[in-house]
Amino acid sequence: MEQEGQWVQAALGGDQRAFAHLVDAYKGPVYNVCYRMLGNPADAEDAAQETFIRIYTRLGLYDPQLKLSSWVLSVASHYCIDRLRRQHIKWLSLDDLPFGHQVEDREDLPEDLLLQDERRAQVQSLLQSLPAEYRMVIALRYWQDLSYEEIARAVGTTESAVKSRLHRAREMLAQQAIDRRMPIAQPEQAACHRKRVMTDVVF
Amino acid sequence: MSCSRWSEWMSLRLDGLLARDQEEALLAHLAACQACQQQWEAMSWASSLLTSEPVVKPPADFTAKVERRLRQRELLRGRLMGSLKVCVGSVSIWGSAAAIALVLLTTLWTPSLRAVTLHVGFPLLANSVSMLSIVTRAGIAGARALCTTSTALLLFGYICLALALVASWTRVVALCRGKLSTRPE
Ligand SMILES: [Zn+2]
Repeated sequence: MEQEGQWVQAALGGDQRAFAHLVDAYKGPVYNVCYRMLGNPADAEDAAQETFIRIYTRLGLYDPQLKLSSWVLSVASHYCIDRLRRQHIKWLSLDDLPFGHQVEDREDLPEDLLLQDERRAQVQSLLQSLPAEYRMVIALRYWQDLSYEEIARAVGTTESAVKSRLHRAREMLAQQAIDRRMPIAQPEQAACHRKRVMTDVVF
Repeated sequence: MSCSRWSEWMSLRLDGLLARDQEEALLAHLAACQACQQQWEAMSWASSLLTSEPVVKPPADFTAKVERRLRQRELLRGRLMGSLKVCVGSVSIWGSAAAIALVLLTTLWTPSLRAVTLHVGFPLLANSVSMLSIVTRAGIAGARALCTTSTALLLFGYICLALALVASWTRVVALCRGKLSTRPE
Protein backbone atom coordinates (compact mmCIF):
# COMPACT_ATOMS: atom_id res chain seq x y z
CA MET A 1 0.00 0.00 0.00
CA GLU A 2 2.82 2.37 0.87
CA GLN A 3 4.51 1.41 -2.36
CA GLU A 4 1.30 2.39 -4.18
CA GLY A 5 1.29 5.77 -2.50
CA GLN A 6 4.84 6.38 -3.68
CA TRP A 7 3.94 5.38 -7.23
CA VAL A 8 1.00 7.77 -7.19
CA GLN A 9 3.18 10.62 -5.94
CA ALA A 10 5.87 9.90 -8.54
CA ALA A 11 3.29 9.63 -11.33
CA LEU A 12 1.81 12.96 -10.24
CA GLY A 13 5.28 14.41 -10.77
CA GLY A 14 5.21 13.10 -14.35
CA ASP A 15 7.15 9.86 -13.77
CA GLN A 16 5.74 7.50 -16.38
CA ARG A 17 7.78 4.54 -15.11
CA ALA A 18 6.05 4.80 -11.74
CA PHE A 19 2.71 4.99 -13.51
CA ALA A 20 3.58 1.81 -15.43
CA HIS A 21 3.83 0.02 -12.06
CA LEU A 22 0.30 1.18 -11.24
CA VAL A 23 -0.92 -0.06 -14.62
CA ASP A 24 0.67 -3.44 -13.96
CA ALA A 25 -0.98 -3.63 -10.56
CA TYR A 26 -4.51 -2.83 -11.81
CA LYS A 27 -4.64 -3.93 -15.44
CA GLY A 28 -6.26 -7.25 -14.45
CA PRO A 29 -9.36 -5.88 -12.70
CA VAL A 30 -9.74 -2.98 -15.14
CA TYR A 31 -9.47 -5.19 -18.23
CA ASN A 32 -11.85 -7.72 -16.75
CA VAL A 33 -14.51 -5.12 -15.95
CA CYS A 34 -14.18 -3.67 -19.46
CA TYR A 35 -14.43 -7.12 -21.00
CA ARG A 36 -17.60 -7.98 -19.10
CA MET A 37 -19.11 -4.59 -19.89
CA LEU A 38 -18.26 -4.34 -23.59
CA GLY A 39 -18.45 -8.02 -24.48
CA ASN A 40 -15.40 -8.48 -26.72
CA PRO A 41 -11.60 -8.46 -26.29
CA ALA A 42 -10.83 -5.70 -28.80
CA ASP A 43 -13.19 -3.11 -27.28
CA ALA A 44 -12.20 -4.26 -23.80
CA GLU A 45 -8.51 -3.63 -24.47
CA ASP A 46 -9.13 -0.22 -25.98
CA ALA A 47 -11.44 0.78 -23.14
CA ALA A 48 -9.01 -0.46 -20.49
CA GLN A 49 -6.17 1.56 -22.04
CA GLU A 50 -8.36 4.66 -22.22
CA THR A 51 -9.29 4.10 -18.59
CA PHE A 52 -5.61 4.24 -17.63
CA ILE A 53 -5.09 7.41 -19.68
CA ARG A 54 -7.98 8.95 -17.73
CA ILE A 55 -6.47 7.74 -14.48
CA TYR A 56 -3.15 9.35 -15.40
CA THR A 57 -4.67 12.70 -16.31
CA ARG A 58 -6.97 12.75 -13.25
CA LEU A 59 -4.50 11.45 -10.71
CA GLY A 60 -4.55 14.90 -9.11
CA LEU A 61 -8.22 14.35 -8.21
CA TYR A 62 -7.54 11.11 -6.35
CA ASP A 63 -8.27 11.38 -2.63
CA PRO A 64 -5.62 9.28 -0.80
CA GLN A 65 -8.17 8.62 1.97
CA LEU A 66 -9.94 6.25 -0.43
CA LYS A 67 -8.69 2.84 -1.43
CA LEU A 68 -6.86 3.21 -4.73
CA SER A 69 -8.52 0.07 -6.08
CA SER A 70 -12.03 1.53 -5.54
CA TRP A 71 -11.05 4.75 -7.26
CA VAL A 72 -9.48 2.91 -10.21
CA LEU A 73 -12.58 0.74 -10.60
CA SER A 74 -14.84 3.77 -10.40
CA VAL A 75 -12.94 5.44 -13.24
CA ALA A 76 -13.22 2.22 -15.27
CA SER A 77 -16.91 1.81 -14.54
CA HIS A 78 -17.78 5.39 -15.47
CA TYR A 79 -15.72 5.17 -18.62
CA CYS A 80 -17.43 1.95 -19.74
CA ILE A 81 -20.92 3.29 -19.06
CA ASP A 82 -20.12 6.51 -20.98
CA ARG A 83 -18.70 4.54 -23.85
CA LEU A 84 -21.72 2.25 -24.02
CA ARG A 85 -24.00 5.28 -24.07
CA ARG A 86 -22.05 6.77 -26.98
CA GLN A 87 -22.08 3.42 -28.80
CA HIS A 88 -25.77 3.10 -28.19
CA ILE A 89 -26.39 6.42 -29.89
CA LYS A 90 -24.12 5.49 -32.77
CA TRP A 91 -25.37 1.95 -33.29
CA LEU A 92 -28.99 2.31 -32.32
CA SER A 93 -30.15 0.65 -35.50
CA LEU A 94 -27.53 -2.11 -35.32
CA ASP A 95 -28.34 -2.96 -31.73
CA ASP A 96 -28.92 -6.64 -32.29
CA LEU A 97 -25.50 -7.49 -33.67
CA PRO A 98 -25.12 -11.25 -33.40
CA PHE A 99 -22.34 -12.95 -31.52
CA GLY A 100 -21.53 -14.82 -34.70
CA HIS A 101 -18.10 -13.24 -35.03
CA GLN A 102 -16.90 -15.48 -32.23
CA VAL A 103 -17.45 -18.58 -34.32
CA GLU A 104 -13.99 -19.32 -35.67
CA ASP A 105 -12.16 -22.35 -36.88
CA ARG A 106 -12.38 -24.40 -33.72
CA GLU A 107 -11.90 -27.91 -34.96
CA ASP A 108 -8.37 -28.37 -33.67
CA LEU A 109 -9.15 -27.17 -30.14
CA PRO A 110 -9.13 -29.70 -27.28
CA GLU A 111 -12.49 -30.51 -25.78
CA ASP A 112 -12.15 -28.70 -22.45
CA LEU A 113 -11.05 -25.55 -24.29
CA LEU A 114 -14.14 -25.86 -26.45
CA LEU A 115 -16.27 -26.19 -23.33
CA GLN A 116 -14.55 -23.16 -21.81
CA ASP A 117 -15.22 -21.20 -24.99
CA GLU A 118 -18.82 -22.24 -24.98
CA ARG A 119 -19.28 -21.26 -21.37
CA ARG A 120 -17.63 -17.91 -21.97
CA ALA A 121 -19.90 -17.22 -24.93
CA GLN A 122 -22.91 -18.19 -22.80
CA VAL A 123 -21.82 -15.91 -19.96
CA GLN A 124 -21.12 -13.00 -22.29
CA SER A 125 -24.42 -13.29 -24.12
CA LEU A 126 -26.31 -13.50 -20.82
CA LEU A 127 -24.47 -10.42 -19.57
CA GLN A 128 -25.20 -8.49 -22.75
CA SER A 129 -28.92 -9.00 -22.14
CA LEU A 130 -28.66 -6.81 -19.00
CA PRO A 131 -28.85 -3.00 -18.91
CA ALA A 132 -25.36 -1.51 -18.48
CA GLU A 133 -25.88 -0.39 -14.87
CA TYR A 134 -26.97 -3.88 -13.84
CA ARG A 135 -24.18 -5.55 -15.79
CA MET A 136 -21.69 -3.39 -13.94
CA VAL A 137 -22.77 -4.47 -10.45
CA ILE A 138 -22.78 -8.10 -11.57
CA ALA A 139 -19.23 -7.77 -12.98
CA LEU A 140 -17.94 -6.14 -9.80
CA ARG A 141 -19.68 -8.68 -7.57
CA TYR A 142 -18.71 -11.86 -9.45
CA TRP A 143 -15.25 -11.15 -10.82
CA GLN A 144 -13.86 -8.51 -8.47
CA ASP A 145 -15.56 -10.02 -5.44
CA LEU A 146 -16.43 -6.59 -4.03
CA SER A 147 -18.82 -6.10 -1.11
CA TYR A 148 -22.06 -4.10 -1.59
CA GLU A 149 -20.37 -1.13 0.04
CA GLU A 150 -17.35 -1.29 -2.26
CA ILE A 151 -19.56 -1.67 -5.33
CA ALA A 152 -21.58 1.36 -4.20
CA ARG A 153 -18.39 3.40 -3.97
CA ALA A 154 -17.12 2.23 -7.35
CA VAL A 155 -20.33 3.04 -9.25
CA GLY A 156 -21.24 6.09 -7.18
CA THR A 157 -24.51 4.99 -5.61
CA THR A 158 -25.93 3.71 -2.32
CA GLU A 159 -25.66 0.24 -0.84
CA SER A 160 -29.41 -0.29 -1.04
CA ALA A 161 -29.35 0.63 -4.73
CA VAL A 162 -26.60 -1.97 -5.25
CA LYS A 163 -28.68 -4.54 -3.39
CA SER A 164 -31.72 -3.92 -5.56
CA ARG A 165 -29.70 -3.79 -8.80
CA LEU A 166 -28.09 -7.12 -7.99
CA HIS A 167 -31.48 -8.58 -7.24
CA ARG A 168 -33.05 -7.25 -10.43
CA ALA A 169 -30.05 -8.37 -12.49
CA ARG A 170 -30.24 -11.89 -11.10
CA GLU A 171 -33.97 -12.04 -11.77
CA MET A 172 -33.32 -11.02 -15.38
CA LEU A 173 -30.51 -13.56 -15.77
CA ALA A 174 -32.77 -16.29 -14.38
CA GLN A 175 -35.54 -15.27 -16.76
CA GLN A 176 -33.13 -15.30 -19.70
CA ALA A 177 -31.88 -18.74 -18.70
CA ILE A 178 -35.45 -20.02 -18.65
CA ASP A 179 -36.45 -18.27 -21.90
CA ARG A 180 -33.39 -19.55 -23.77
CA ARG A 181 -33.95 -23.03 -22.39
CA MET A 182 -30.49 -23.16 -20.96
CA PRO A 183 -29.68 -26.47 -19.22
CA ILE A 184 -30.82 -25.57 -15.73
CA ALA A 185 -30.22 -29.00 -14.15
CA GLN A 186 -33.26 -30.06 -12.11
CA PRO A 187 -36.24 -28.46 -13.87
CA GLU A 188 -35.14 -29.93 -17.22
CA GLN A 189 -35.14 -33.40 -15.75
CA ALA A 190 -38.41 -32.82 -14.02
CA ALA A 191 -39.95 -31.62 -17.25
CA CYS A 192 -38.65 -34.73 -18.96
CA HIS A 193 -40.36 -36.94 -16.40
CA ARG A 194 -43.59 -35.09 -16.68
CA LYS A 195 -43.59 -35.53 -20.45
CA ARG A 196 -43.09 -39.25 -20.11
CA VAL A 197 -45.93 -39.51 -17.63
CA MET A 198 -48.14 -37.57 -20.00
CA THR A 199 -47.33 -39.82 -22.95
CA ASP A 200 -48.06 -42.79 -20.76
CA VAL A 201 -51.42 -41.35 -20.02
CA VAL A 202 -52.23 -40.52 -23.65
CA PHE A 203 -51.23 -43.84 -25.07
CA MET B 1 -44.59 -12.07 2.47
CA SER B 2 -45.02 -11.74 -1.29
CA CYS B 3 -43.08 -13.86 -3.80
CA SER B 4 -41.14 -10.81 -5.06
CA ARG B 5 -39.91 -10.27 -1.51
CA TRP B 6 -38.75 -13.90 -1.38
CA SER B 7 -36.90 -13.31 -4.62
CA GLU B 8 -34.94 -10.50 -2.94
CA TRP B 9 -33.94 -12.96 -0.27
CA MET B 10 -32.76 -15.40 -2.93
CA SER B 11 -30.34 -12.77 -4.19
CA LEU B 12 -29.12 -12.09 -0.65
CA ARG B 13 -28.70 -15.82 -0.08
CA LEU B 14 -26.41 -16.05 -3.11
CA ASP B 15 -24.19 -13.43 -1.46
CA GLY B 16 -24.31 -15.25 1.87
CA LEU B 17 -26.12 -12.36 3.52
CA LEU B 18 -29.13 -14.23 5.01
CA ALA B 19 -29.25 -15.06 8.70
CA ARG B 20 -29.83 -18.71 9.60
CA ASP B 21 -33.53 -18.27 10.45
CA GLN B 22 -34.14 -16.25 7.29
CA GLU B 23 -32.54 -18.98 5.23
CA GLU B 24 -34.77 -21.60 6.83
CA ALA B 25 -37.85 -19.49 6.17
CA LEU B 26 -36.82 -19.12 2.52
CA LEU B 27 -36.27 -22.86 2.11
CA ALA B 28 -39.67 -23.54 3.66
CA HIS B 29 -41.31 -21.17 1.17
CA LEU B 30 -39.43 -22.73 -1.76
CA ALA B 31 -40.72 -26.15 -0.75
CA ALA B 32 -44.27 -24.83 -0.78
CA CYS B 33 -44.18 -22.49 -3.83
CA GLN B 34 -43.53 -23.95 -7.28
CA ALA B 35 -42.97 -20.59 -9.00
CA CYS B 36 -40.36 -19.48 -6.47
CA GLN B 37 -38.67 -22.89 -6.56
CA GLN B 38 -38.32 -22.63 -10.35
CA GLN B 39 -36.98 -19.11 -10.09
CA TRP B 40 -34.51 -20.11 -7.41
CA GLU B 41 -33.20 -22.94 -9.57
CA ALA B 42 -32.72 -20.68 -12.57
CA MET B 43 -31.16 -17.94 -10.45
CA SER B 44 -28.71 -20.22 -8.69
CA TRP B 45 -27.85 -21.94 -11.97
CA ALA B 46 -27.03 -18.58 -13.63
CA SER B 47 -25.09 -17.55 -10.56
CA SER B 48 -22.99 -20.72 -10.56
CA LEU B 49 -22.37 -20.26 -14.29
CA LEU B 50 -20.91 -16.81 -13.60
CA THR B 51 -18.93 -18.11 -10.64
CA SER B 52 -17.37 -20.86 -12.74
CA GLU B 53 -16.23 -18.37 -15.39
CA PRO B 54 -12.65 -17.29 -14.61
CA VAL B 55 -11.29 -13.74 -14.61
CA VAL B 56 -9.94 -12.84 -18.07
CA LYS B 57 -6.35 -11.64 -18.42
CA PRO B 58 -5.25 -8.64 -20.50
CA PRO B 59 -2.75 -9.21 -23.34
CA ALA B 60 0.94 -9.43 -22.34
CA ASP B 61 1.90 -6.12 -23.97
CA PHE B 62 -0.91 -4.18 -22.29
CA THR B 63 1.25 -1.95 -20.07
CA ALA B 64 3.66 -1.16 -22.91
CA LYS B 65 0.71 -0.09 -25.06
CA VAL B 66 -0.62 2.21 -22.34
CA GLU B 67 2.83 3.81 -22.03
CA ARG B 68 2.99 4.32 -25.79
CA ARG B 69 -0.44 5.95 -25.78
CA LEU B 70 0.58 8.23 -22.94
CA ARG B 71 3.71 9.35 -24.79
CA GLN B 72 1.66 10.05 -27.92
CA ARG B 73 -0.78 12.15 -25.88
CA GLU B 74 2.03 14.19 -24.35
CA LEU B 75 3.61 14.76 -27.76
CA LEU B 76 0.29 15.92 -29.17
CA ARG B 77 -0.24 18.21 -26.21
CA GLY B 78 3.24 19.67 -26.69
CA ARG B 79 2.46 20.39 -30.34
CA LEU B 80 -0.86 21.99 -29.47
CA MET B 81 0.81 24.21 -26.89
CA GLY B 82 3.47 25.14 -29.48
CA SER B 83 0.94 26.23 -32.09
CA LEU B 84 -1.03 28.08 -29.42
CA LYS B 85 2.15 30.01 -28.57
CA VAL B 86 2.67 30.87 -32.23
CA CYS B 87 -0.93 32.07 -32.54
CA VAL B 88 -0.74 34.21 -29.41
CA GLY B 89 2.65 35.47 -30.52
CA SER B 90 1.48 36.52 -33.98
CA VAL B 91 -1.68 38.12 -32.61
CA SER B 92 0.35 40.21 -30.19
CA ILE B 93 2.81 41.20 -32.92
CA TRP B 94 0.06 42.38 -35.25
CA GLY B 95 -1.74 44.06 -32.37
CA SER B 96 1.31 46.06 -31.34
CA ALA B 97 2.13 46.92 -34.96
CA ALA B 98 -1.39 48.21 -35.49
CA ALA B 99 -1.27 50.21 -32.25
CA ILE B 100 2.04 51.81 -33.24
CA ALA B 101 0.74 52.64 -36.71
CA LEU B 102 -2.37 54.23 -35.22
CA VAL B 103 -0.41 56.32 -32.76
CA LEU B 104 1.99 57.37 -35.49
CA LEU B 105 -0.77 58.39 -37.90
CA THR B 106 -2.66 60.45 -35.34
CA THR B 107 0.48 62.22 -34.18
CA LEU B 108 1.59 63.01 -37.73
CA TRP B 109 -1.89 64.25 -38.55
CA THR B 110 -1.85 66.78 -35.70
CA PRO B 111 0.65 69.60 -36.59
CA SER B 112 1.50 70.41 -32.95
CA LEU B 113 2.42 66.81 -32.31
CA ARG B 114 4.58 66.49 -35.40
CA ALA B 115 7.62 68.00 -33.73
CA VAL B 116 7.15 65.73 -30.73
CA THR B 117 6.97 62.74 -33.05
CA LEU B 118 10.45 63.46 -34.24
CA HIS B 119 11.83 63.39 -30.73
CA VAL B 120 9.90 60.25 -29.95
CA GLY B 121 10.70 58.65 -33.31
CA PHE B 122 14.15 57.50 -32.33
CA PRO B 123 13.13 55.73 -29.12
CA LEU B 124 10.36 54.06 -31.09
CA LEU B 125 12.92 52.86 -33.57
CA ALA B 126 14.79 51.26 -30.72
CA ASN B 127 11.53 49.63 -29.67
CA SER B 128 11.06 48.21 -33.12
CA VAL B 129 14.42 46.49 -32.84
CA SER B 130 13.37 44.81 -29.61
CA MET B 131 10.06 43.88 -31.22
CA LEU B 132 11.99 42.21 -34.01
CA SER B 133 13.84 40.12 -31.47
CA ILE B 134 10.49 39.06 -29.99
CA VAL B 135 9.32 38.02 -33.44
CA THR B 136 12.41 35.90 -34.00
CA ARG B 137 12.21 34.35 -30.55
CA ALA B 138 8.55 33.37 -31.06
CA GLY B 139 9.46 32.07 -34.50
CA ILE B 140 12.24 29.87 -33.17
CA ALA B 141 10.08 28.53 -30.31
CA GLY B 142 7.22 27.78 -32.71
CA ALA B 143 9.52 26.13 -35.24
CA ARG B 144 11.01 23.94 -32.53
CA ALA B 145 7.57 22.90 -31.27
CA LEU B 146 6.16 22.17 -34.69
CA CYS B 147 9.07 21.37 -36.98
CA THR B 148 6.90 21.10 -40.06
CA THR B 149 7.57 22.78 -43.36
CA SER B 150 4.20 24.45 -43.68
CA THR B 151 4.35 26.18 -40.31
CA ALA B 152 7.99 27.14 -40.87
CA LEU B 153 6.95 28.82 -44.12
CA LEU B 154 4.08 30.54 -42.33
CA LEU B 155 6.43 31.84 -39.67
CA PHE B 156 8.88 33.01 -42.30
CA GLY B 157 6.03 34.88 -43.94
CA TYR B 158 5.06 36.50 -40.64
CA ILE B 159 8.63 37.61 -40.01
CA CYS B 160 8.94 39.08 -43.51
CA LEU B 161 5.65 40.93 -43.08
CA ALA B 162 6.73 42.29 -39.73
CA LEU B 163 10.06 43.39 -41.23
CA ALA B 164 8.29 45.05 -44.13
CA LEU B 165 5.97 46.84 -41.71
CA VAL B 166 8.84 48.13 -39.61
CA ALA B 167 10.83 49.16 -42.68
CA SER B 168 7.94 51.05 -44.25
CA TRP B 169 7.19 52.73 -40.97
CA THR B 170 10.81 53.96 -40.53
CA ARG B 171 10.69 55.18 -44.12
CA VAL B 172 7.53 57.17 -43.37
CA VAL B 173 9.24 58.70 -40.34
CA ALA B 174 12.30 59.61 -42.41
CA LEU B 175 10.17 61.18 -45.13
CA CYS B 176 8.21 63.27 -42.68
CA ARG B 177 11.43 64.38 -41.06
CA GLY B 178 12.82 65.49 -44.45
CA LYS B 179 9.68 67.45 -45.24
CA LEU B 180 9.71 69.16 -41.84
CA SER B 181 13.33 70.25 -42.12
CA THR B 182 13.03 71.58 -45.69
CA ARG B 183 9.88 73.55 -44.87
CA PRO B 184 10.50 77.31 -45.13
CA GLU B 185 10.31 79.30 -41.83
ZN1 LIG C 1 -43.38 -17.90 -3.91
